[in-house]
Amino acid sequence: MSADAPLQPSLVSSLTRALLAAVVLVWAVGTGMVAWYVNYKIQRNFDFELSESAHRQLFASPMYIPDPGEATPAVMHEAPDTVHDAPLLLQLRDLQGRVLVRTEAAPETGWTSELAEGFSDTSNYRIFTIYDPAKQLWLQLADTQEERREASRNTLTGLVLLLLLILPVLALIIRWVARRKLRSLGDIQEQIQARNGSHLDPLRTADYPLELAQVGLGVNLLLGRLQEALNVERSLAANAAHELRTPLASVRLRLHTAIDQAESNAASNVPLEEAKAALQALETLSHRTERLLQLSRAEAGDSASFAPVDLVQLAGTLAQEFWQQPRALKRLDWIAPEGHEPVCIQGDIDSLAIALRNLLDNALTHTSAAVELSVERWPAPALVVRDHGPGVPAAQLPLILQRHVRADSRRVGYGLGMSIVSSIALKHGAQLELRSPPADGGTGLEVRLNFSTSTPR
Amino acid sequence: MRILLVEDDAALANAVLGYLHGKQFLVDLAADLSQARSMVSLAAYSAVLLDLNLPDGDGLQLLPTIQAQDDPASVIVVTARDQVSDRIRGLDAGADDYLIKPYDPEELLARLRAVERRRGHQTSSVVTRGDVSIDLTREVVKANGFPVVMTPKEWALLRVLASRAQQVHTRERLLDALYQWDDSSDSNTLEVFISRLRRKLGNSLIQTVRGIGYRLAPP
Repeated sequence: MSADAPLQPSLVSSLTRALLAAVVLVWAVGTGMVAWYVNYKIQRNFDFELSESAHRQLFASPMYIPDPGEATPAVMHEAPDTVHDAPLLLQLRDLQGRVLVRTEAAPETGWTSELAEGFSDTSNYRIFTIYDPAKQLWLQLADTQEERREASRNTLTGLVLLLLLILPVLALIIRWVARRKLRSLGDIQEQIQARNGSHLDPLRTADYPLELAQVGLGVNLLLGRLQEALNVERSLAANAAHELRTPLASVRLRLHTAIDQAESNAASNVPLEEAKAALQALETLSHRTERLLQLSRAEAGDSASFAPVDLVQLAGTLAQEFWQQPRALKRLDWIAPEGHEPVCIQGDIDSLAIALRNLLDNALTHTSAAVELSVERWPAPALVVRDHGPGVPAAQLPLILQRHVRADSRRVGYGLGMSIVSSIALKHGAQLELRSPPADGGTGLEVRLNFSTSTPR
Repeated sequence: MRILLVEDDAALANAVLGYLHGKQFLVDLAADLSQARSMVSLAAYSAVLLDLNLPDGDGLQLLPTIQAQDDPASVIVVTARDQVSDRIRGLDAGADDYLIKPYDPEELLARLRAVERRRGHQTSSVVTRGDVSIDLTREVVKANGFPVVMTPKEWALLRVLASRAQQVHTRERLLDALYQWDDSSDSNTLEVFISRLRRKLGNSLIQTVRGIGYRLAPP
């Protein structure tokens, strides 16, 4: 994931959220249905009890009926009831609908104007009415609507409270389960992250669930192909050098021999100019081959083979190599850092040599002035190649690092060489810095490989 | 001067033989390590041109056999391996020089001439001061037993100082030695190089003789 991409939520938390939302939705619908059913049953129970009591009151127990002429309605005193907290609501009415007897909580006037057996509702009461043909009396028993509503409310509240209590517990359980089940995902991710150029072993997929195991198998297939490609690249980089250089050396020697013979013997039938041109072409070919070999090697290497490299030894060895060329003998200067201790970094000495060789070659080829090679110890290890040539205009400095781009016609061939240096620097976590004019004043180009003291990637 | 060429690539071997014969060198060919081993002890070679990639092993394995001779040949390693690690390994093992294929034949010639020149000086002249030893014949400087890389200018200066080690050298004479490397040397340059030599080889090696010049510290 690149650094500037917004951070995606983790699979565990998005899974937890989605599952929890789904569960709450289903639970809410379920609770609604349960509430409706329970309410229906509660109302049925209330009704059943109402009719039961009405029958008991009218037929089973002797009832006080006031004589004609007595003041009505008479108030019936009910026995104290410890089971039901709601008072009994009862009206005994005659055929004309007059209220003869009522309980204390019941109103003095009749609940309904019409009298018919069965249930009926007013805004405040649910009433059950029965008729006793023997006594020619109507009995009405009622519950307040409020009492019934409260019963329903209590049930619903209980159900919702239960849901609210269980919800956090449920969330924790879902999260825990998701984490547990997704642990293998993190595991496979760690395995993939541990793979690099020198470690491309197949992933372990045995203990994973089916889907992940299949992902693992796919990755393994890819790793296999990558390993194969890397092997080809490495062996090409390693062997191509030997395979190409030996015949090149042989052709070169033969051409030299032929030219020598032609020059020393005027009667020789070797076409001298042709041979010289062939030699020139061969040298160009050698040079190009060399650069391509270097490029392939620079890009094939990886940090797995890094070992301590003494920059002083490296630079000294390369300086000696270059002093064997007549063009470098008088111009190249090697300035060692103070003290005899090595200046060590973690790296690959051969790639670093390729980089340094390119820098020296560029400086010697593109200027005719003095060139200084130096190693710095402080503040951080650095390899520095500085020429005293005319320098490079500031606008062209960044172009030098691009492959196949040449700074100008006088600096032919910079492109590939510098891109080799650049990829080697990258591999070593080193910073490639170009300064023209150099910091110490004067003209010229200073190319620095600044190494960090920490271990490179 | 007799040279042993150890090379397994027949085409290249023939090319080298042809070239060096043309330059009046006497060259024998060994195609592998075992052949080379027996040849080294049979003839007194001045130089061995040694390929590293041989069918029966690493060319460097031949070095002990060469060094066991009465008058060991100078070894020039010639190989397609251009890795600097190989070169350091080769020089550590005792090789005198190193050439990378495809080399410039003139360069090969120059190395062989250098071997010839060195072998012409029969007596080796080594100047030792404390931990520093200066081998004027082989052009090798060691400090504490480790070789110190000298630039051509530093070496030019040190050679003058060490070749007449008892003598005080005037600034003019020392500047002359630098002039052959750099026409633009001025009198400050001398101080710069003297201080570089001191930095590499220790402060006490070169003494300043006020008003005259410099000399190597007495033993």
